[in-house]
Amino acid sequence: MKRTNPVKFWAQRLSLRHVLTGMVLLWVLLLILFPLGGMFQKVLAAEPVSCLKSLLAPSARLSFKLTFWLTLGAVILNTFFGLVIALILVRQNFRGKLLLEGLIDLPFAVSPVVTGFMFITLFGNNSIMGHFFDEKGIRIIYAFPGMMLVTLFVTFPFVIREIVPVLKEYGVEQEESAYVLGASSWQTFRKVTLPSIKWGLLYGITLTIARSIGEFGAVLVVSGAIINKTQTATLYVHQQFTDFNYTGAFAAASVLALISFVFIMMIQFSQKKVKGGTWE
Amino acid sequence: MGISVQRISKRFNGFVAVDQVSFEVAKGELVALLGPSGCGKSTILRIISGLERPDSGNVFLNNSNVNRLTPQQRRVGFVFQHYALFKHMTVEKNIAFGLEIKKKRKPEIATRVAELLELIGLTGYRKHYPAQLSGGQRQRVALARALASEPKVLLLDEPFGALDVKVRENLTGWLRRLHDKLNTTSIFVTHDQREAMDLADRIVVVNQGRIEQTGIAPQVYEKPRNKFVAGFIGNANVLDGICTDGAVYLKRTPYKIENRSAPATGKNGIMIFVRPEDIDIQATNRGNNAFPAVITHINYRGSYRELDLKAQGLNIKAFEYKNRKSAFSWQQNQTVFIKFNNYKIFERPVFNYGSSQKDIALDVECGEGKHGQASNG
Amino acid sequence: MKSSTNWPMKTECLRKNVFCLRGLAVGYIGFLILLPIAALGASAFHSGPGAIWRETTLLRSMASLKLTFILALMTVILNIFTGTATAWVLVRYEFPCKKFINGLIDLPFAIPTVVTGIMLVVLYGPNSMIGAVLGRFGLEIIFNQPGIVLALLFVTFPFVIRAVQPVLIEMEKDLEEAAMTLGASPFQIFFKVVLPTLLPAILTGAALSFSRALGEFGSVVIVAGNIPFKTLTAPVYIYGEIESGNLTGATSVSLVLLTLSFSILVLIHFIQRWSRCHETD
Repeated sequence: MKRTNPVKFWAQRLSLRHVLTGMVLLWVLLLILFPLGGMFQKVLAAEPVSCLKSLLAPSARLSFKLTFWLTLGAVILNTFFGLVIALILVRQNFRGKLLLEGLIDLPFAVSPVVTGFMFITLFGNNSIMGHFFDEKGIRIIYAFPGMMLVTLFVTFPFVIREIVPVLKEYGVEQEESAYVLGASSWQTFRKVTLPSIKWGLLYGITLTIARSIGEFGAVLVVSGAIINKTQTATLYVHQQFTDFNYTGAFAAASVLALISFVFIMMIQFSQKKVKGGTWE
Repeated sequence: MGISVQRISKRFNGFVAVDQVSFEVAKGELVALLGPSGCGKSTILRIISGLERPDSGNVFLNNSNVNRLTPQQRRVGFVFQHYALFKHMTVEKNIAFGLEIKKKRKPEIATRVAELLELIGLTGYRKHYPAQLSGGQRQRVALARALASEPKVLLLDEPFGALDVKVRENLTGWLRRLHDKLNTTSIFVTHDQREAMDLADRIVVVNQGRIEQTGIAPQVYEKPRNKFVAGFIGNANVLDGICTDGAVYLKRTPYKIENRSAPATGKNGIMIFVRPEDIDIQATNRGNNAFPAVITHINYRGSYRELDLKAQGLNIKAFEYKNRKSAFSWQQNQTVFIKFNNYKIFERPVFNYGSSQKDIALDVECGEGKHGQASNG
Repeated sequence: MKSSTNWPMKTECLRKNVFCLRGLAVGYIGFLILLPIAALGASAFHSGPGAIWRETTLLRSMASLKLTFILALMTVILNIFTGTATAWVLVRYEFPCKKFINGLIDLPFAIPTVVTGIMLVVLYGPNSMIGAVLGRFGLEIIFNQPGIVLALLFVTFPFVIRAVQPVLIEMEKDLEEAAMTLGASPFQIFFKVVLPTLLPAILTGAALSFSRALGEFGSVVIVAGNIPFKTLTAPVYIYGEIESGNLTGATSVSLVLLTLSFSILVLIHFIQRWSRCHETD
């Protein structure tokens, strides 16, 4: 009776592709799934009642509300200006266009802490702008406007970067036909341009929302993280954690993670549409 | 014996791409696999190269069965339609690639590359990148790359498909001269019959995964074995008719063509294939099986004209060449008499299996001579 | 002869639109992006180059910069290999749950960095199962440098993958088939044909990872313990200086980070340009 050598057995059946796939899956498991799972497990293990209680605490609720308003502002403003900038980048030629293109990616390169710090320098107590606004009685730093500005900064590139390639690929002829047929600029934009870029726009907006919900370093610096006043959801999580209120921290963190999942699905969905259906 | 393909078949997800195909290519021969898009000719080529595995059948290269060999081991040269040049390598490096894989020595490689560059006429371009070359130049580099390690067999997959017409014409002639010089056993795939006829020693006509006919160009053109080949190669008018002893009757018309050798085909009817250049146009009815038709439209083609004719219900195309006075004779709306100098008759199958192999040509003599003798007496 | 349509008015309107749009765009960018950077520069100038230099070369600030740089480098090197392998497996192979795994790649883009930090502490911290086990071997992940690398690996996970994937998908098969017919083995095909084609994308992804890793704050501040000279990275150092009111200190290190990041952006731009010059339509 021949005994089959187990090593030989498997070596014959496993090819490079199995080994590579296995290694990659293992890496993804360890790096991504494990930590996620660990946290959810902790949350589920904790008492659901105390979790809910901590989530319903006024400071928690206020922090989520603040995140919501910041996100809304970021989406509205950066979508509007993003469309404008993308349109002039793709459809117009002027001096300094190259410089403009470079500036778009700038927020990606800046660390969040540095971002917050730049705005403190700009609007802080020792600056011209700071004095100017102080006289008017408007607080920028350690208040909502500052946090809004910072969120706008870090989410600035997303919409632009997603609709520029779609606009480029889509070409200008359809818009030109519309003009020749008598449509005004606004009509052309509404009926021709906008429908063609809608998936790219959706993708960009999804990324904007995800980023602004998750923003931490910049708002931490700029807001002073005053509880119940300038605390976003992420700042709330941080504060709970450093105060050793782990239940509160985990509960809020889980909510944020769940929201992220929703966004990943939206990202996947809109990405597929952009790749597959540019010409609707 | 160069290449021998024996009963190879290949399916893709239930779709039969190649169906029991067998043919041979003699050593040093240049054969064209000709057929419409999707007929399986590229698949046959890829099976020979080893890039696809057949479901059944055998491939022999120089008398040895290569079924189990990978493309690397088969030592065939392959030229792709879109060149597949390595964009990050210079022309020199592209051509040297196969030799470097085989670990040949540097001086040897350098000599061979120089030789090939001279052969393809791109000696000054050795340090260029593919992005800096035109389509025709890229294809020549692809060819040199395939020839570098002196393969026994050269396979070309629609090599000129991506090129402009003029470039294509130039390269076709150039490739023929190259083949005459090197005499490598070669197969090339094309859907362009003109290219096949210009370039190949023999043509293998492929349709729906099967071989319809093999032969030299005149054979395939003048003696098509079945309906598909008759219709695919060159231009042809296709007319319905009935054959009863002694004559071919054109359906929907009162006209007939007397032909002693036409057998009776019964109720199935026949299809008559007649090429536009085989139609003789006469001003009057000389009583030689000609029948009247009206010229409805004339298309000027430079060296000849294409006439659209209508005879009762039939639409017929004919070519008109310049007469002895170097001018064209006919005019639109003129009534003329047309006569078929040469035509082929195929019996209509009872059931249409979709396979044109079942439509074998009836052996019918229909040259001018026979007519003259048979009917004009 | 007057044209019957209102074309002259239309072109005027169009031109006004154009300037309107351009003005809006420039104004927004100028205010939101350029002004803050300029403010930082002005503040640095105001403090004087001498003070800036002094603050930057403080031992602890240098230590934080060095630490950040080294850890980011380690992260990037790991990402180059794992990212390329992951992209390859996702594009070329089939396996169960492939779509799910593909979606998972984007997770770090969507999860707040704070949550990342917390997840890692929960899983590998001293109070967790794994942390306790590893602690017995003397391996401390959280509040130590490996923890930082782990956090950085998590947040930079998608960059190389998402940069390489589209290039792999677009790559025509006949390049590899040509190499096959010329006698190259699978390994040779990968290293001589595939890898050179992927190189610009890998480098771009690596540069983006590096830039992100340099500036990462949210997850690091939770996971690192922030011990000066040991686990204090540059962004956390800057935060500390802001909190303690040493604005000059914060400015100087910020400037260093900014300069590094800008250089990386420029580098990416050149990589893209270089890769395009070999493109054949």
